[in-house]
Amino acid sequence: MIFRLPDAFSARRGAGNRFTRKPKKPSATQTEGNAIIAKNFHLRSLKRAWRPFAERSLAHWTTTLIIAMTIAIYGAFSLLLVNSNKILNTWDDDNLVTVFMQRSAERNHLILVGKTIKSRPGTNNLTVVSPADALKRLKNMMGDDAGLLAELDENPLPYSIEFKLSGEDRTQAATMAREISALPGVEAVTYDRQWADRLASVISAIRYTGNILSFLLLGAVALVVSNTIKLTIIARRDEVEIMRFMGADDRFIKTPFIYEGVLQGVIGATGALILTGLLYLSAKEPILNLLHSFGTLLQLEFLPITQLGLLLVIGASLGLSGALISVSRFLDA
Amino acid sequence: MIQFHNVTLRYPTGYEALKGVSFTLSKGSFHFLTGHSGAGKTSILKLIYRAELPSEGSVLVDGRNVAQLSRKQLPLLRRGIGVIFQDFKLLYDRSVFENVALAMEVVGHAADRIPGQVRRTLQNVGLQERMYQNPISLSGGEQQRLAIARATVNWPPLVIADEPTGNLDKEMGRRIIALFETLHQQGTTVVLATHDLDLAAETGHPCIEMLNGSIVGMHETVVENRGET
Repeated sequence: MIFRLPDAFSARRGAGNRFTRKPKKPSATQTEGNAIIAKNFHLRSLKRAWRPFAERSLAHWTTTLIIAMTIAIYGAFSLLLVNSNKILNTWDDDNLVTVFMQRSAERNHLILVGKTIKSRPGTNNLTVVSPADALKRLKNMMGDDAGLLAELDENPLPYSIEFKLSGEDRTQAATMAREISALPGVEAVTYDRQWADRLASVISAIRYTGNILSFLLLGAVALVVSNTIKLTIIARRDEVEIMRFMGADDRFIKTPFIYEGVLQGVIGATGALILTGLLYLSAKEPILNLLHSFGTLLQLEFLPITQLGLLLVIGASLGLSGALISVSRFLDA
Repeated sequence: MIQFHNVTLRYPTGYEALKGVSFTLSKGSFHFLTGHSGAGKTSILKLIYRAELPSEGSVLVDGRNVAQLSRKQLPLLRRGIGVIFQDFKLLYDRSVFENVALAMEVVGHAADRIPGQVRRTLQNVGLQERMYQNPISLSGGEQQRLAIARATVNWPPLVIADEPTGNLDKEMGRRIIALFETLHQQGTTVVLATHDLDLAAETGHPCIEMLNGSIVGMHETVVENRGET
């Protein structure tokens, strides 16, 4: 066997100090066999990072599934908030005030209440709803179950007066409701604003809880990613050591691991989008039926494109942060 | 090229692998490090590519103190040294081709240069037919040649090898030594650690004889060494 040195070897000798000369940056694409020789360093690193996924590494796919489920929980909260806000806005726009009279109330009570309301600024669309009309509405709302009302001996519903508040007077609803409640013959006063305020409080609680829960879950996921990358680094410790002895710099060694984390995050987030979509499709009909039973005619919305983009960014950030934790702890040591 | 000044390598356990070792190897030379197991041959090689740091004294490679290299400078030093490990340190999840290509990727060679250069280097060591096989399917001699191909594909100015003929029969050992001879003839500085004095003697190159972490002789040839001992 004859050992022949490459032709270019002699030509390169003497071309400066080869201990200090920095190599030229890769610039073109050429692959051979199974070699990972890609267009540039990042594509090569990305290919290397994809390997565990292609080889169906249980640790990598499990972590990706955990990311998907966690972000899907966040997505479900977002879905809930988007649609709750939509309902809130609808109620806010209506701003209907309803005065329920006592069943024993007399006609003059009804007239007094009507006059009092009319005398206030910003009130309009005043309507008196008779017990018979109220029963009709109830029957319509109950739909197929309206037959139950046929069992009643008499109509239990009282007279009521509905009106709307407009402009800046809408904020006076609570004060006005208190004053009207004090009038003789009045049983109760309800207004959409009240429900809107209650819903707003519920939404606020959901948002607060969701944020805390999401923060904890996403933090836990970052640690899970970190642990998976740590296992990968440990499994490839010999390879890392060999590369170091060959002269690999930190960037060369760390980048594939960082891409691995980001890939886990992005794939997980994509899975989360699919899970959230499935959740939306499966829950849409029952929720719409529930809303219709309350007389709310509303179409539910899926997450807007910005929110979907945000989920992907969250996934990528989780993967990146998890990878950075491991890389800095186990490769910089 | 390589200068050791009164180098001591002491492990945390207190064991001294090297004791006050001093020598100088000039550029383009070919030296054997000889001595029995535990004499300190591997420790000297590890200090050259800074797998270990001297406890005392200094190691200079190409005029620079390796202990004072920064984290960014260290890869540049190592890129100039082709290391052939005693246990080969091949990557068994990659093909023969990829093992050699990795050495070029690490250094940052242009991607279009890598396949041709790897192919030529594998041809030089007679492994062109095994290019796409896994190293695990290669014989000991073939794995040794693969390790040499990986260490030399970037044409480093310095090649160091730890027991490169340790697990080979005489004939394969001669072939491997011939590879290093060819490198040396092209101007590469070669340092081989071996306990196979017969094989080393055939080359006529100088040797540094070691015993229990100290240099006990610097000989012009291994034959001279054997004559004295």
